[in-house]
Amino acid sequence: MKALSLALPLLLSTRLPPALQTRTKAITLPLFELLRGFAAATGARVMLGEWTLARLGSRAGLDAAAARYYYQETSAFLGRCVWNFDGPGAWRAAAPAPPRLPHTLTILINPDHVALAIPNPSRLSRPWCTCCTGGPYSRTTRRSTSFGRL
Amino acid sequence: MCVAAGPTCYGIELLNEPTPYIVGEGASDRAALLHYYQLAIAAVRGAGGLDAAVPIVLMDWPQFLASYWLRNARALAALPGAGTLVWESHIYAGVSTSTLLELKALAPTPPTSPF
Repeated sequence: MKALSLALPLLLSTRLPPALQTRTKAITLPLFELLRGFAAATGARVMLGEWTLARLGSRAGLDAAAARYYYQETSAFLGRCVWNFDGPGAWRAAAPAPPRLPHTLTILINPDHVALAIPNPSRLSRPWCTCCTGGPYSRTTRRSTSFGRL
Repeated sequence: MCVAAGPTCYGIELLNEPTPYIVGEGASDRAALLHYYQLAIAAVRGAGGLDAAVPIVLMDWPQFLASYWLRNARALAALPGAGTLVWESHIYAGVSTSTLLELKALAPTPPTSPF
């Protein structure tokens, strides 16, 4: 544990303010690095499934402002939008265009593209991401486009 | 199943959260899971099966993506007729010791203190 706590700061962007040096971020950003590294090494497409972000955020007790900033910083870290609206309380309230989904959104990641897969797009009522069009996930893009949101 | 769901169906995940403890295998050996995925992909993509453009989603825990699958994922992608494969991974627990340990493998070696 001590070795990990010493190593994790090396993985974190220096742009992140001390207020967000939380254990949640310390977990999530290395996870992104892992997935991106795996995708780069194998050529595989990778998605971050279930509700990892919201689960981590809610258990870490982030307030709405911290959650919003976390979304922004994580998006910048990955170079694309990363939103997850399934978190309870502050995390859902922090979503910039909150569709208040009752279920999980899935985040797709590869080294140069991030998109969101929608388990049930008919549940969406508002645009939720404006930077996920194009790229290799044409199936996602096509469905999103046909849904008239992206 | 996917045809019935129409465009709502993104793809089919073959298995969610396979146990990290497979009897007879080492801590990072997922040979049984590789074999299962090989058989399952062939079955799913077989005659009359899932269209090659519809993703088959393969799940395993992050620590195995960083170890076993780093060396073996291409074996699945190379299967004849495998079509679109997407790997899915996630953390089940919140911020816990086990989660930290799961991710420890990807952390760089910390600098050694001279003192």
